[in-house]
Formats: sequence, C-alpha cells, structure tokens
Amino acid sequence: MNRRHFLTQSTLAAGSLLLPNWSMAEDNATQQLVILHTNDVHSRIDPFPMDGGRNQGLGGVASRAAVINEIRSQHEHVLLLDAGDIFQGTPYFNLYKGEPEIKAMAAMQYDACTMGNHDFDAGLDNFATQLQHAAFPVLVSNYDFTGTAMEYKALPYKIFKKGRLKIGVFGVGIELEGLVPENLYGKTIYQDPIVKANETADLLKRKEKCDMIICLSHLGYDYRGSKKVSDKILAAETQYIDLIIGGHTHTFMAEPELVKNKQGSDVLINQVGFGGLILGRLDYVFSDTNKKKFFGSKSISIAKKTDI
Amino acid sequence: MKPLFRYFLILALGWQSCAPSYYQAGQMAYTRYDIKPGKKDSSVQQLMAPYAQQINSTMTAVIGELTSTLEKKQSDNTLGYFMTDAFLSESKKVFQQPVDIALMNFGGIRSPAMQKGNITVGTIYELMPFDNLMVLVTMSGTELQQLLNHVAGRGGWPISGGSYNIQNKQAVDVRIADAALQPNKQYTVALSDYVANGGDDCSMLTKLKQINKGYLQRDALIDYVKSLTAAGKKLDIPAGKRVNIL
Repeated sequence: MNRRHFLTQSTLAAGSLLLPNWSMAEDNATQQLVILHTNDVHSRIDPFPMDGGRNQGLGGVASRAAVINEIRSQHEHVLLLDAGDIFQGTPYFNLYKGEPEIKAMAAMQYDACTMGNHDFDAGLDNFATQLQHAAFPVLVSNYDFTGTAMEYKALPYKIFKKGRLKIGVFGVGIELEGLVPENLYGKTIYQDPIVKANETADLLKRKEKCDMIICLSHLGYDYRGSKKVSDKILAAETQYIDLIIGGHTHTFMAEPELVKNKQGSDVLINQVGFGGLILGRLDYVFSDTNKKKFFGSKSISIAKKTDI
Repeated sequence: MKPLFRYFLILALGWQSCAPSYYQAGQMAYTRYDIKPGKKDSSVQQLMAPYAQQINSTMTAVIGELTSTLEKKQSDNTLGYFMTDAFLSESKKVFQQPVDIALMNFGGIRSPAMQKGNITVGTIYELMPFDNLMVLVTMSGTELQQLLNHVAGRGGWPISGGSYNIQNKQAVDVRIADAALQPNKQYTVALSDYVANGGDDCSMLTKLKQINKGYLQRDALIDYVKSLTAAGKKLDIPAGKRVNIL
C-alpha cells in the first residue's frame, strides 16, 4: 500500500474534517455524485413579488434553472430531486392546475419527486393528468393508489446508475386524513411510512445492492414532543437510508443534520425552506469497499459548508 | 502464448471487470444556493412566458387601498381580522341569511403580511391561494365552545363577530356580538370547506350540516375590498385585540 492511499483510507475511517480531494481524477476507486434538491416550491414560477416582504425578488424557475445548468456543466453525475408540494401557492396553480410547474421541472431535468399533500389540491385525477408533462417519475412507497388515477403512474422507488454507482431513491408521503379533504385523495390508502421505508430500503440495499439510498420525504422535519412521524423519527427507526431529503414543514436548515439510524449508522436529513428560495447541493465522495463493510454500519464526515 | 492459456487470461480479466463492486459514501460537502435575481435560463423563461403574460394582466389590477400594514400573528392577527371580516360580511350577502361569526384557520393564511397601499388581485391570491369554498355551519353554543377550545389548543385563530381569550390552551371569556356565549343557543359560523370537512383536525365538525353555495373564500376577499372601494372607503382594520393569550 503506498503512503497516499494509506492516508486517504485512514482519513475516511477517522471521519476527519479534511476537505475532500476534488482534484483527484475519478477512477474506479472513488466516485463522485452531486445531489441537488428542492421542496415545497408551491407553484413559485416567478420570483417572489416586489411587495416589501423579506423574500421579494428571490426564487423563480428561470434563475434556478441557470444555477442548475451551471452545476451540470461542471459535473457529470448529478441527481436533481424534489420532496413534494410542487403545487399550490400562486395564481399559476389556480389558473393552470400545475401544468407550468411540471413543464418547468421537466425542462430543468428533474430526476424524481415525491408527492406532497398539496399535490392533491386539484384532485388526484388532475395530478395524474399533469404528469403527462413530466419526464421524471413520482416516487411514493406508502400510498396505495390501487383503483385511482395514480395507480400506474407512481412508483415506490427508482434506481439511478451514475458512473459506477447505483443510487436507490424512494419516497414517503404524509398521513392524509385530517390534512387533505377526502374527496381529493379518494381511494388512496396511507400506509405506515416507517414500515414501508424499512421494506423499501431493505430491498434497495440487500437485493439491489445500491451504494446509496435516498428517501424523498414529505413527512416534515420534526414535531418536537409529539409522536407524529417525522424525518427525525424516520431516520432513527429505519436502516440503510443514507440521506433524507425532506419537506412539508418549510424548514430552513443551515446545513444537513447528522442523526443515527437504528443500526448506529449516520443518516443525513436536509430541507431547504419553501418557494424555490434555495437549492440544496450535496457533493458526495464514494470509495470502493468490501461486501462486509457495505452492509455494516457507516459514518460520514461533513467536509465543509458554503453559502452562495 | 498457448491458445488455451490466452483463453483463461481473457476469462480472468473479464471476471475481474464484472466482479460486483461496492461503494460507500465517506464524505459530503454542502452548498446552499440562495436563488437570487441575476442570470436566468432563457429556454425556461420562454417556456413560461405565455402563462406569465396571462397571469400578470389578471393579477396587477388594483382593487382597493389599505391604510396600514396588516400582519399574521398568533395573538393580534390583523391580517386574519381582515379575512374574517370579509368572510362575515360577504357570506351574509351571498347566503342571504344572518351569520354570527367567521373563523379562519391560522395555517390557511399564506402571507406573513399585507403591505399598506394598493391592493391588487395578486395580493389576494398570495394571501389566499387555496380554492377553498365558504360554508355555513350552524351549531350549539356547546359545540362552538368545543371548536374554540380546539382552536385555542392550536394557538388561536382570528375571528370576526366575536372575541375570546386563551388560557391553558382553552378558549375562555367567549363573546359573540358582545354577549357571553350561551350553551343552548344556535350560532351560525362561516368557515372554509377545508375546516368544516375536518381539516386541521376539526373532526368534531364533520357530523354537522353544511350550507355550501360554491362561493370561493378568495372571491369573498376580492368582493369585500371592491365593495369598500365602490363606497369610497379604504380598507382599515379597527384597533382592538379579538384574541388575547392570557
């Protein structure tokens, strides 16, 4: 083993805060992946109006697309994901029922999204109809859509191949009763997100041997002191999930939060507010490992944080 | 090289490249991009242009004027007072019957504030994007007290036509049109269909009869502002707390 290789190995093992070596050419031993994400964009096609409010002039799909394009021009392996509540919040939705929102996401080449409670707002049939404009799948593992317009349109998960990496992405949705009017969700059956997340993550890890598992969640970040299922509870009570991209609570997190899963492995949770004000970017560096370590407990070091 | 040996060599190399490889994420660097005005993607902009033109011509129409900035707050929710005043006033006209109070769920108020000055159609859409319908629900004083207790437990919702205080997550000192709440009296309450159908955990309302005329709550806000303007008035919310947290 040469000295440089030894050092790389030991810094990874020690979870050191050293910067990753970005200049290192990507070879089979290391792989890089850039994950970009949004949540609760709520039909914000234009920037926030110039009304003296704190968000005036910020956001908007054309500016977000420019940022995404620039990142794509610099990195080969990019995943662009959304954690739901694409719909509702501006007149665009009242007039066009989600068509421009989905078209804009398709143009930005989103890879996948999950479904938020407000995506039911013009009815489940409307959501299914608007998906004709989508070039990306809707991932939800805990809604049983049997007998609804979404039955053959939603997938529980999807596996993305990026370089030599296999990335498993799945979704979980929030309890609908008491939140979404029954006439809008119809025959959709809500299932326990912890049970379905464990089932799906287990399949993605042990059967499909995914190198990374991402959960798109519309459960909400944290309901302190409440037993209501949240991303914090989901992270703690599951295994094999590496990253939870959250939504619903419109939480502006300064950086991803590191929590332990039921195996003692690290899980990252992140959420970027609402309204397309922020785009989150996570740059992951992967190294090759053996089968035993692959299924064992993992730790991740957060190398740095930048605000742009 | 003997042909057989060459065959084994190819097989061995082939085997190596097909061997399953396992990767593990060791490091992550985070970047948070604020989406600021500046560089825009022209193809996305063009894709949205036909929608934007239609929206802008509808939304920029000025319908009235506001005398002082209204805010969404839990205790003195002036923005919520405007909304519930509009619901109470317009529901009486649309349903052609007496209505005692109007309530607005806190989470349904979608702007943090409404700035003084011109009120446009767009201002109202920002405030009330949901296509919620106005419904009337008639209930006993006891049932209204239960509803207000639930509301108090959630931190309080704005009201028009009455007032209440919040103590230990319960509604106390409930007054409707300046009289104390009477348990056996019937009260008619203007609500959104969302709340009346059990939204925000208001399951106690689902068994009660609703009257619904397919009238959007957002139209009530627009009609209320327009009626003030037509009468030569500006929108002005009188001072005075309607919900006090004790």
